[in-house]
Amino acid sequence: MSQFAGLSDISISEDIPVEGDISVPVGSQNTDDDFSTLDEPVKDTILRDLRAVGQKFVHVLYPKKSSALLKDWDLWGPLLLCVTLALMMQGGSADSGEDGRPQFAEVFVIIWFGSVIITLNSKLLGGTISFFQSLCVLGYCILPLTVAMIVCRIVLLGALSSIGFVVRLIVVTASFCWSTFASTAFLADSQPANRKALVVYPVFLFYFVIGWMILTFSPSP
Amino acid sequence: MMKTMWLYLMLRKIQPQERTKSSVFMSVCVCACVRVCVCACVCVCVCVCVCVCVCVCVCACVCVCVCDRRHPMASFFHLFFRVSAVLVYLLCGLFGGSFIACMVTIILLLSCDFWTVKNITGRLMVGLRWWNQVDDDGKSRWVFESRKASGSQSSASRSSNAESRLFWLGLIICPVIWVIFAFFALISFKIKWLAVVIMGVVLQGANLYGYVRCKVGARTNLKNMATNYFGRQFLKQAFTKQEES
Repeated sequence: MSQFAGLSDISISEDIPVEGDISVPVGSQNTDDDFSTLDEPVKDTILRDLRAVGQKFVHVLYPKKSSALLKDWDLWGPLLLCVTLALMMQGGSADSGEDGRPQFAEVFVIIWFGSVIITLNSKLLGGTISFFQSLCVLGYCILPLTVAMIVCRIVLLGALSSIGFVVRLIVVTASFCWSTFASTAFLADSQPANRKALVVYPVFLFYFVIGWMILTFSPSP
Repeated sequence: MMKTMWLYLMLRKIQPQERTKSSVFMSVCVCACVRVCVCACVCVCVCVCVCVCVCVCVCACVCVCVCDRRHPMASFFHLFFRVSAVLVYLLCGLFGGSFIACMVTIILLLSCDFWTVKNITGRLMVGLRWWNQVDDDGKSRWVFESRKASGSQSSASRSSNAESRLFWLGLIICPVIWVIFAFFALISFKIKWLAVVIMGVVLQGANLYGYVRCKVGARTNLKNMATNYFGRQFLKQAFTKQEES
């Protein structure tokens, strides 16, 4: 105790300069990466994005759980599939306008509005996936249904109506199951275990509606 | 093809020395595009072709007039997709034509414009870039980067003032035009066009917002920037009044 006795009245005179050096270590790795992508040639950017889109299509065709797909989202695939599907549903049945206006906008609105609603639902249920990632997954998983639409139009070119209907039913059902399975492989992981069914059910409905539109499509005579 | 080559050689011969190669290239491109579009007129909707031709000419002229430019192709494409989307919308609205062809054309032009401005023209013309990054734990965040002005950069990669002005003008004017279109579509109850117009507003507005945030930087936000600007103006006026009195 006695060795601390004289310490209570220590004071530092004010004219001693206090100096030092405070430096915050800047993460220079990020800036190096950015400058390399800021200055990359245009062809590299285009090829990189095309490769990413191609990889995602392959992932949809062979769905296996991979987080790499979700990290690098883009909306090119959904846009192209949506436009293709909407264009192929033209020349349709009697309830369309003179140049098919309601059907084109209908498909567009159903796909995009439906995806937004499903994403909101999964976020409200406490999912960890982000808004655009979810839109990306749902959009890309429309690929099997687009393929089914192409097959249906080819089948409809033939004359046999009942066998044609059975073939179309099988193809649409198979592609609907494939789409639902592919999207749940990516989406279900982001949800807590007791809520998986609550997330999968709207996805099931969404692809069911699209499959129904494809099945009931009949070209105008 | 032979005619185009001949045209190119003639233009090269009679050009004055100070005209650069790229302006000649641009005029040849215009002629080639006009010929292609005239041929394509037969099968595609006429108004869409007219729009594209007019747009190519306008953009080429603007880019030729911007004398001090290092990235002529980037400037051209920056304006081309935006202006052609606006023109296709206007002419399809005025003259009719197939609604679906117009809608698909406008949607494809808007998406190409969004991707081009976000990934290419921004970083080439003004050295800014923004994107969305997803971390390993699934959180997504938006990153806004700007090229730091450092002396070690080569002059080839620095962009000129004229290009920067062209970039910001194109970036600001087009979303305003789409907002005006949205207003008119609401008033005249053209609901079927509203989907396209809203897509235009959202995509071009997103690019504008992203680049403004890159420019302003991560530290200050827009409110601080506005406060600083008005504060400085007020002080300037106060001092000039004091000097006068």
